[in-house]
Amino acid sequence: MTTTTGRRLPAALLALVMAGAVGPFLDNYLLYVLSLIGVYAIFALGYNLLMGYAGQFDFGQGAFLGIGAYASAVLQVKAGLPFAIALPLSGCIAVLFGLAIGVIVLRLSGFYLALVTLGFHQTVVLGIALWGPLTGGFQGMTVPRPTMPGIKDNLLMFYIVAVVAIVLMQAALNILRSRIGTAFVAIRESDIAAQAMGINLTQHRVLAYGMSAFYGGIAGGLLAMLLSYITPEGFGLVETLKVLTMITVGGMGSVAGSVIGAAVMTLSTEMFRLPKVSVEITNGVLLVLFIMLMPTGIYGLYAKLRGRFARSGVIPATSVLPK
Amino acid sequence: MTALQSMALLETQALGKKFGGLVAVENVSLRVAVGQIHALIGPNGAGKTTMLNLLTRIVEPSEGLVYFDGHDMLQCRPHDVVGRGISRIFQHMELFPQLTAIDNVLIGAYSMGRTGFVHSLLASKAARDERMDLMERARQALAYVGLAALAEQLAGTLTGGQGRLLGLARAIVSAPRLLLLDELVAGLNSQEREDAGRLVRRLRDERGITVLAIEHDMRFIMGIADRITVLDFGRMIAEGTPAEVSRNPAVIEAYLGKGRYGHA
Amino acid sequence: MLSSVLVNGVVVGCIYALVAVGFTMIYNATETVNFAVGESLMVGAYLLLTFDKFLGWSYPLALLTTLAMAGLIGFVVFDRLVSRPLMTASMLSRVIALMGLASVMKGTVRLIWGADAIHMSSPFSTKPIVVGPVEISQQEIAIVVVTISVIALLYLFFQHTRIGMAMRATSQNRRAASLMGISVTGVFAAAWIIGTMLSALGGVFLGPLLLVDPDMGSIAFKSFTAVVLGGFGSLPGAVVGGILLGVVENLAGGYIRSDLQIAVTFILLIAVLAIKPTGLLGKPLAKRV
Repeated sequence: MTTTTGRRLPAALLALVMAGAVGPFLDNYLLYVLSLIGVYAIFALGYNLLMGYAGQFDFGQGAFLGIGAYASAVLQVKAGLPFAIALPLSGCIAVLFGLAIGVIVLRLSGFYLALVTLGFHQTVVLGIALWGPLTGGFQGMTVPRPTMPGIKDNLLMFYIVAVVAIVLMQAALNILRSRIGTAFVAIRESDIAAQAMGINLTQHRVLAYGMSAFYGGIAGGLLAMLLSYITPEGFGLVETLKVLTMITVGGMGSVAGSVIGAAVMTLSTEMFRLPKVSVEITNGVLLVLFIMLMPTGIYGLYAKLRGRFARSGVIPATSVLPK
Repeated sequence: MTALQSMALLETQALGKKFGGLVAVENVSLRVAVGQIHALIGPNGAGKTTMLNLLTRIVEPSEGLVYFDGHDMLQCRPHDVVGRGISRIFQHMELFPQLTAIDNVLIGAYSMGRTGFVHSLLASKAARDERMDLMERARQALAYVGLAALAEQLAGTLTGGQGRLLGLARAIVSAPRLLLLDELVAGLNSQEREDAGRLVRRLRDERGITVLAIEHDMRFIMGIADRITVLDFGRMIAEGTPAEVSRNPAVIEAYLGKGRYGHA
Repeated sequence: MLSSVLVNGVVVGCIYALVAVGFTMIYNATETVNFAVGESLMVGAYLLLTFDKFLGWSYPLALLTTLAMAGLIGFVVFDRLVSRPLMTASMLSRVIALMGLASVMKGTVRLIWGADAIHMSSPFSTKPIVVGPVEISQQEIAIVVVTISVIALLYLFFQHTRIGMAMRATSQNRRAASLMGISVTGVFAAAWIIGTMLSALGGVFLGPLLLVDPDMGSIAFKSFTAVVLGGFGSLPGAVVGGILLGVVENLAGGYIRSDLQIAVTFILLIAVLAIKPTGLLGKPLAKRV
């Protein structure tokens, strides 16, 4: 254990190698579920950055998922771009929206912030639905899966998701452990004290929005390819609630929590489903139970047991640095 | 004092603040000389905390000017204040209770870092080196206030006195030229007050930090202040050495007249 | 015709106002932002539908039972089960819990009553009657009249009953109120019961105007905007905001496609927040230092 990245880089590489090695042996359904987990892990990570780390009450995150999905779909289907270009581009398009909403909500807090982000989300979904010629409107649109000769497309999709997820996770870890991550935590805990320490609130809040939008957009772009068929309704409030449940269950304010939450929620809805009990009910019940009984989430509990941290699954800037 | 001797590090000119109809501060012209411990005292509600908020740019003045080291502070945004060399301790501590003591101080060193987004994203060597450097500064600051042993403890679990010292460490890690103290010793026992006083004097003597302290505790102030300004109802009613001020009839009346007097 | 647009606006505004008042009451007493008011409205509609249409009870009985059950749900589920245990936690926790509850309510309704929209008929006729310069139906008159009566009753309640005054005291200063012997938990219960009943009443009115479906709670966004418009935390503001929003929406709806309506509301929200964030009747928020 030498340096920060020194400790994590092998973990990231290890994960990549494992994904690569295990992939060919998994059946289509497992590949699909794992890819879904990867996509939601990215989405949850972005959301966690905003809510858990920077402490912004955002309830419209599903908008970025939708923007990313449709941007990626349109760029590939209508503009004929290969996915390797369409995907990062859709992330960037989502960022533009993220910055816009970040600027709008700059002077707002609490209820007003939540309300505006909710309204933003609904307006975006409406916009997507009404822009018929481009997006196929309420009917939705089909999205082709990336293909490469010699490899079945489920496996290829899994690899793509795995690589993107691991890279983005490392990036998030780097940011959170940096001076910027410190600033986020300070802002969350006390914005007046943060300012007194030289932290530019505006800059950091907008950055948090931009980053969460990017992650949401990339997740959306990948989701579009994974599902192969998207409709505007698929990116409504339910998605925001889903990802909120993920970070609550997994652990707010932590990277590991995002992954755990994504895994737990995806597995429970895809594989262990009670008959007739819908996603809405499962989500809602888990959300209420966790926020009441285990607000720090699974990772928070783990961290507490290992004697590290108290509330909110906060990983402070130095806890992963060597002493 | 000659003009050279009384070089003002911080100067306000006819500074005033009204909140709606309420006059919080009016026509305050304060001069804090370099290397001095200057106290700002007055009964409750005299406008002392508002003065600090004006100086740290959290609040916009209704009138008047503020100069720090010759620079017009009214052009400064709240997050640029520490970069100019002014650090502050808050009355209601504003520590980060869920973080360790060392992390609290590390946040205080934020302004000394330069790592931007790209370097942070890539966790470059420059970023890591800077991090190590800031950690070292944080440790030194903690050691200076005597809390080195509590570095890994959660700030929320510290005692009141320890929390104050932590706030102090967090404020000095950015190597300020002016330190603003807001009721540093409120609620501390006499031993803690003595230690705090000694620490403040050390900061002035060893590090050349100028101090502007808001206080209620008269004995503490008399013990460490070089110069005192007295506010009442937002206006300056007296200024001078501790001896001069304690004899000033207007000051005595301001305190006694309200039936309140700081700790004897 | 302008007058019928105005009438429509006022009528739908009354519904917004009812929900907005319930929401504000709950917030003032418990400092909890109830993002599940929409679902309370939805449950109210479904309950009435069940008693009136499916079980064939008389309308007054169905209505009373609906309101009573709404009050019960407000007390048992909202207050006791979810809100009370989280009173010591952060507001964010309560908000999240209520969002979860909203999701559960929606899913449960979908499970029991199915996802399809159901038509609800009203005991009042929808034929337009000419009253002076306006054309208004019996149903619309009923909505307006009942809303006005409810608001008048609430006013009397707050001014002249012990519980009402206790609620006002608790809204202003919870600690002082409890020190004076007011049962704060009692006030919470009262707020949740009344607030949920008001939302349910909104659902009862809305049902016949639109179709009843599990997603009808999304109309709460309008009530939230109404609260901002009228001034957060102000009960009169909630009423004014609700009715004003209804009218403005209907006026705009004459010129803009109806499916763009949510965008109109959103833009209005942003505009209010940009120009006068405290709303029409709200007080400026004190800045903490």
